[in-house]
Amino acid sequence: MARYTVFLYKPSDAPEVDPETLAAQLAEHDAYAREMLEEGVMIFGSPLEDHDATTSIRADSLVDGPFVEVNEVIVGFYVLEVPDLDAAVAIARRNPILHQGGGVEIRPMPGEDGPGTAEDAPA
Amino acid sequence: MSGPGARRPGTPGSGGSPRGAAAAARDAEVAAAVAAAHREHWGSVLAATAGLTRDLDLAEDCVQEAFVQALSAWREDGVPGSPGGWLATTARRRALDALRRGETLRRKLPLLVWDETAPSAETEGDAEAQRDAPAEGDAARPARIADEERAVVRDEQLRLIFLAAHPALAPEARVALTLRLVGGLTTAQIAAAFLVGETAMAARLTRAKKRIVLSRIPCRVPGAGEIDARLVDVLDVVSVLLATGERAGGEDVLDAAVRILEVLAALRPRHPEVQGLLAQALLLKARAATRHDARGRPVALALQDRGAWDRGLVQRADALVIEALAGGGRGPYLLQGAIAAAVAVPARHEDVDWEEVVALYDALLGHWPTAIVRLGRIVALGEARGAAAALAQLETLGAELDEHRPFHVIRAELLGRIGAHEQAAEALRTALERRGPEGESALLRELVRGV
Repeated sequence: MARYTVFLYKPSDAPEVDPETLAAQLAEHDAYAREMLEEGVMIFGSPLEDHDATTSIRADSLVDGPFVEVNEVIVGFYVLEVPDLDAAVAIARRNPILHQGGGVEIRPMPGEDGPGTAEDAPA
Repeated sequence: MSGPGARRPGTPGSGGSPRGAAAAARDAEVAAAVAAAHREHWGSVLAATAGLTRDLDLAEDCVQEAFVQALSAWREDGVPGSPGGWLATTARRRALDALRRGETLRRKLPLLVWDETAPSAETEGDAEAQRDAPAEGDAARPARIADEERAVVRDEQLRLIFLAAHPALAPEARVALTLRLVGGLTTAQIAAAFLVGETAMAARLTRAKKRIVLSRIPCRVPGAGEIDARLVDVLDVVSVLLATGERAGGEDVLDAAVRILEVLAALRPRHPEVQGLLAQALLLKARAATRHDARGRPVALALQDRGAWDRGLVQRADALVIEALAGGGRGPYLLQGAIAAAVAVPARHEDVDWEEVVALYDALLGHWPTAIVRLGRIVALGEARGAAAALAQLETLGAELDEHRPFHVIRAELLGRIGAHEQAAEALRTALERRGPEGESALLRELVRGV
């Protein structure tokens, strides 16, 4: 099995949506998260508070605000455990953010068969 | 990894020493057999070995060594009845040795994801491979490679084909990786085909293989729900191979493309897009000998010796196109195949139905409304309705295709046909300023002098 973090992005200048739309969008995310739990593919996941709520630390200072200014901001993430990239893509493709004006990014996490180990090589 | 040292075996290079003529002839025979086995079996031997090692670099090394060993072993013992089986068994034993010595532990990357749930009919009828393989003790479980038609072998080749064309890889990496893993071309050959430096190509291949293991891109044949989309990814890669083979005159590239399409055709018989692209590939192969003259200059279609075309291949391609069209196919690769067949099937250039070709291009534009497809349509239009009609449409592409040499060559040809020789000469000079193969440049220089 392999682990992936799926990052959810939205444009930083995305317009505010009205409360009903927002509630409907969040309900979609809840339903999607429940599906992933039932399928046993999600280890952990969470939305993130607003980009503005970020605290950044540098060697000599604490800064109110993001470390770097970007056009797309991370609004949440999931950690998946699945056999391979195809499985991760199949799950991430169903993410509701894809039709809510956002996108996702899939990053592999080093796993048990990570660098330097090859124990499960068939002999 | 397939560094610059990974030479393709079988190229003669050992002729210097004073040996008997019979021995020299025998060496040449063995070298030819190894070269043929390399073309035929590289992909399936590598696939079988990678299934064991779960490490592409290690598998490539073992397969490469097996081919090197074949050169000396076959000289001693004769060419085995099943070269593919011999090679697979030899590569397999080398891989097992390496795994036992723990060489993979020193490698820094995780293992290739090799989906074991995929259907695979296990071994039978390996007796021949077993008998032919050099027998030395234990571990060499007979490789299941003796027969290219067998389902298991095909399944393993398909895994590599789909892996190399995976949509998570960058498009240029897919093409290079396909030629390396499936076609067995060396890094140097691939670099030459794409007019890229060998170091850059080696880096591209290394990056792509690293990406496969770090992202856990699985080495498997896609399931029913996704296979059609993934098949198109493979066809897109093969289509680039055909264009490259055509441009660079790379016979190896063309052969690799044909072999991949044959495997896909066995997986999905009567798939119209596979049939269409296979037809296109076969027609390129059928015409390969006449597309350049003895000095490497391209020969215009109208002047090519149709009698020298491989009529067997042309007929096979034509039958594929007819069957696919009758089956209702109208996809872009089938339409391209139909265009190639419409041009190649008639016995004389004058007998080509250019209005039909124009109509096929119109249909193709529905899928791919690109300047290059429009340029092809304009060439057909020039044949069907005359150079003046074609020129009128050609001018609309000038801005978009100004850097594209064939645009200027076609323009010069059409201008020449309406008698505008000054303008034609100027278009040829512009064409010479654009990048293109050297043989073509030589021809263009002669034309500039001669117009």
